[in-house]
Amino acid sequence: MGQDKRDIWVFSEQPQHAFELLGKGKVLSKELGSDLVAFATTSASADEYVRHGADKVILVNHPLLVEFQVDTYTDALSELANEHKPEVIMIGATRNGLELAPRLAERLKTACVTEVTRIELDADKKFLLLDRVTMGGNLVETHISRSKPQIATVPKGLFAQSTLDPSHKGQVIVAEPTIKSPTTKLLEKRSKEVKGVKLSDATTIVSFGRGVRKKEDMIIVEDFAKAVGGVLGCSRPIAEDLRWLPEEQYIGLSGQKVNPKLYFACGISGQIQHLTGIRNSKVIVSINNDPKAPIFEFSDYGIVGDLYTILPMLTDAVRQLAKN
Amino acid sequence: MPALTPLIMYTILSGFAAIFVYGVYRRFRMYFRGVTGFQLDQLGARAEKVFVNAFAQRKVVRKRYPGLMHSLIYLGFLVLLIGTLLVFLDYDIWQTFLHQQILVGNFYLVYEASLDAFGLVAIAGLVFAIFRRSITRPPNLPSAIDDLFIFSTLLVILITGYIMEGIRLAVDNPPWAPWSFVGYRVALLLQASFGKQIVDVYPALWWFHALLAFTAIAAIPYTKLFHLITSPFNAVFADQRPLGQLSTPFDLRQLVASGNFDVKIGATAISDFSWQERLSFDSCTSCGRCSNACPATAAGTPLSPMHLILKLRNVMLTEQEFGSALIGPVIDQEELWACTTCRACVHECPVLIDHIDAIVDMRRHLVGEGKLDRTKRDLLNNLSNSANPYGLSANDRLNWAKGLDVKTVKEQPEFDILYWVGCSGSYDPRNQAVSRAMVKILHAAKIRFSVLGNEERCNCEVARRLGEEGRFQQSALELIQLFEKYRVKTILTQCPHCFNTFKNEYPGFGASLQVIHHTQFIAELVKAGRLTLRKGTEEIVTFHDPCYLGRYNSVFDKPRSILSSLGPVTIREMRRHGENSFCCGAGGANFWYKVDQKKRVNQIRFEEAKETKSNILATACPFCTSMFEDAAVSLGSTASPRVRDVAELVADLIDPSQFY
Amino acid sequence: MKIIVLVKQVLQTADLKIDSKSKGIVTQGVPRVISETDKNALEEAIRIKEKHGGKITVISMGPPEAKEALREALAMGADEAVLLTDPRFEGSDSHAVASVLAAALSKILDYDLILCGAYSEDMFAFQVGPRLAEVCNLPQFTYATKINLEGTSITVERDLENERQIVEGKLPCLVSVVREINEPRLPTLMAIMASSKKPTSIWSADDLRLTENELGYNGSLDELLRSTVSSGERKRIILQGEAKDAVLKLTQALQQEGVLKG
Repeated sequence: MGQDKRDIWVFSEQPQHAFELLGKGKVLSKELGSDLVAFATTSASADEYVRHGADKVILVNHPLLVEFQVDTYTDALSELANEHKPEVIMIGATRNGLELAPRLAERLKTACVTEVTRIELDADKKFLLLDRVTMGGNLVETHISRSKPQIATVPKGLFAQSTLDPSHKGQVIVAEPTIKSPTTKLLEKRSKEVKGVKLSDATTIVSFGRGVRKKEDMIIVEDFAKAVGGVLGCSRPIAEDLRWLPEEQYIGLSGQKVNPKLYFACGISGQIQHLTGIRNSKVIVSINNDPKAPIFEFSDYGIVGDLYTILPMLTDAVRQLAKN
Repeated sequence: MPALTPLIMYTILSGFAAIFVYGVYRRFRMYFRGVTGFQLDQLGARAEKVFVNAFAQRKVVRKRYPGLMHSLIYLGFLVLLIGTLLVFLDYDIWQTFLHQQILVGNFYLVYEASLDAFGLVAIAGLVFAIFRRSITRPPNLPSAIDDLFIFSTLLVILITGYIMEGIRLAVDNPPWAPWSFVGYRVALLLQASFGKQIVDVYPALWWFHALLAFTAIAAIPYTKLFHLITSPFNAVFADQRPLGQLSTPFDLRQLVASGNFDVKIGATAISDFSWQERLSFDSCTSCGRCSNACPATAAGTPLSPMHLILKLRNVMLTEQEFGSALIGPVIDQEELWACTTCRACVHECPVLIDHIDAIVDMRRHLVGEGKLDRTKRDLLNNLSNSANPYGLSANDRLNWAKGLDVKTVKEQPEFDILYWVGCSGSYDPRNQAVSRAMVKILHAAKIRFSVLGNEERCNCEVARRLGEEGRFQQSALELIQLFEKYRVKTILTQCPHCFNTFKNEYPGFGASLQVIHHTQFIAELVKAGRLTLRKGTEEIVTFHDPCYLGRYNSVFDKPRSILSSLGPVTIREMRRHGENSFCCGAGGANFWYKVDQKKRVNQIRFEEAKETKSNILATACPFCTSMFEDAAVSLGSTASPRVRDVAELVADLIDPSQFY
Repeated sequence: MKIIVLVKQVLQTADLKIDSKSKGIVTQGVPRVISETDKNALEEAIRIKEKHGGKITVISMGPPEAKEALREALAMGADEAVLLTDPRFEGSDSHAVASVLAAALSKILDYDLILCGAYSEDMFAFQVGPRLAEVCNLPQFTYATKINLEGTSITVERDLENERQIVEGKLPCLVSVVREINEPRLPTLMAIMASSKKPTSIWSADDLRLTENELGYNGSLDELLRSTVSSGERKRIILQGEAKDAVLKLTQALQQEGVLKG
């Protein structure tokens, strides 16, 4: 393994996420003419990674790595990285990944860019250009690393999974790095009831107001929300006065404050009480019958029309997009 | 009568008197416990308050039936008291020392007739009172056992008095007997039924009557009868500051100068309240008028002003929990946050209790503890960080004026009026329309005005009402400096809260400004013919008196005069209007956080507007406008009545020729 | 119990806008506030102090204006504040920041617990906590929603995407918190003004004995190549035409924006 080797390493404690990293990794490794290497802790996952395009898999089958733990994984990965000197380590930006990557980077005395939105090689193929968004979404920063390996944490869904190719051949290298006992002890873990995404965490929200005339008509909005992958929200009267939705679902001054990438306001007039709850949305789209509704001043895009007509059309259009 | 009777009577009386004095002393000791200072200024104003409220009973008679009931009791006993005093003076002073008599001749005849008449008056009042408290039971009028006990005791005293008079007249049969027309008829009745033996019961009856009367007197400081003393005292010692001004627990200028900010404000224990506040708690007669007028009570929140005061009074009377924190165990936080500071309670209270003072003092304690929920913290953070309660960018303050000819004080330093847009008028899309209407009016009337633009910042009146006094004062001092820098003399505002604060609270911090509300301003313009208005369409309009404009600052006629001048407009009044106006629910910072209401205040009021079958609900406050628009949406009634600010209605009718 | 709390003063991101002429971010008139999760960290420290006693030192690395943030932190209940400020700190990446903070910690020497927010509201990088823990060789507990202390033992409840964990370890250590852990108290203005009595130290790179190549750009491992301004005022575009056309235009626009997956 010479110094000119510029291997792409990927790791995520969640296999599905790792497949996405392999997807992008394949592209990068091809451009650099190097190997795509995955880090695995079980031979079953090692085989999966090979089938998903990994040229090499470094397998460490160690009892202390069974459960993800930042200490042990930092020990393992740092020793392996020092030995094999990869160009890049892509780590899945799960919460685990986000606490591992910086610590690992510090141990390796290298740079780390978290929550990247784009990874590209520059024109001369000398640097990896890593983009991330800051300042409340106002700024896109492009980073390069002055040190190797360049570590990047990649959010789920940024890249497409690499295709499964059962015939793909790869080398599984068994390694035994020194792993010290962790400094923390896991006493208990409980899985969270998947109650659905909280409004305050949602990236897409479809919200409605009194433009919806009857409780039974809510289905039009719900269908649209499903199609666009959004969480359902509403204005205050819907929750507090009409009680069509629970209180936790209303957005406004005395309700939830949200910051999605995409916010749909359907049949909401745009009283200031509601606007203060949605102002951090990246893109606001409004549909309202009244061309003078204050919501339009506050939106990026608006359609003046009856939501009973517009929403079903929009639902179809979005479904079409997903199919293509 | 037997020779020693006066001596025995006065001895016994002094025993009861001692009980009375001790009772009074005990109560006053409660008020003054832990108090160091005592000040009394503005004696003339205080005397007037006592006369008008305690003696002339002005606030009591505002409500027809309870007013009548109380007047009967009050006048009845007042006259009887004077009558008894005259007897005391006559027998024990004039006759004993001066060997003369007062109660002689025609004066005596009138005296007798009057006493008999007013005894009946008192009885009528007492019967009325018992009837109200036990049979009709209007809302918020508790029928406690001790109320009924007091009324019954007084009734028995009066009735036995008449019986004794009857017996005396039956025995003596003086020629002027018929002048005591009640006693006379009692005498005839007794004679017919019992004959001359009736005189045998007289001594026992006399002592019974006397002892009962002494008991009643001694009971005064141990029952609600104490309001006889506390109410006038409350009128004397109540704070004399202007109506719209909250109490000022410290002066930030002094603290900055001294460098000592270790000031504890706010109240959670009886010991934290001033002695005037404690005295006022004890003045409550549980008449229920405050709670009956309170919008928070009507909405089904935990707040009932009367019960709040009674709770404080009851703890105070135990004398044990003097220093114990009451917020939590006795007073629920939600009671305090549900208050809109609309002042209906204080306005109604016949004994001049200031419920808002107590509530704000307790809010100040909660704020000092820092234990506010997320929305209240956001509100205060927004005020500090963004200089407006919405948390919107300070740089966007003039966006509403895009495309309009509006000059800032920097662009036009020579101006006659500073147009204070206010946070709502600057940021709330609904109220930005009102600001634009104002500009239209100002230009039509050729007024040379300027705005502060991005230098305008919230005056934090809402922080003061919430209980964060520091941020309010800091903002006040900053703004006053800003006004001085730009030589502002006159401020025009469309927000009654801003209006009230500038007018009534800023002078306390050194400001001297003329402050005008836009309804006053527009009314003057119309009257002076400075605005040419086209004839409007036929409308039926009802006007909602904003609390901070009407009840707080007595501006009722100007908005109505504007509406009348708008062509064929019919003004219909809501049931509760003028000084009895019912709050929209936004005040006391309630606009900014959630209050658990069974029926929302703004909806209650909006439905009251709908009852008038008007097609326009006219407002003069941006928060009322916002609340009613919200109610309209919630109730599905956006078509009628339409919610419009007075300025919008006027601007719509300005003849375009005015702009050339 | 000696607690260190790290706070960062950030621009209120919700107020940031692009200047239409210069195409740069307008920072003038944008309030500077303590990053929310740092407030949570400080609130937790204060609660621990209320329960166990001790001293809280709050540290902030930033421009001189960050002194205001420290005042607010002192008003909330910290005992003393340290401002690390130096023009040479400009351009520091997370590694350089961690180095400076570590230098400050080694000057302070004695501490049991370091609390910080899991991420800062302006950068959302999640890096400083773990990097600092690594430099100082401390165990790290991230995404804390509950902290329990008993002697030198610490138990932390952590919030991961799909599970909650309870983890145990020993002091000294570093804990980074998320917003769910508590509701930070709000100091009154009076408390803020009174806090000026509490001690505040200001340390420069020289006080920390840092060399040139550890500072700013020189001390950074990652380089910011360029920044592109990405958003501005609300567009207020009303999509015209027949319903079907408007709907089509909308989906196209949203795809362009990158908020609708196609």
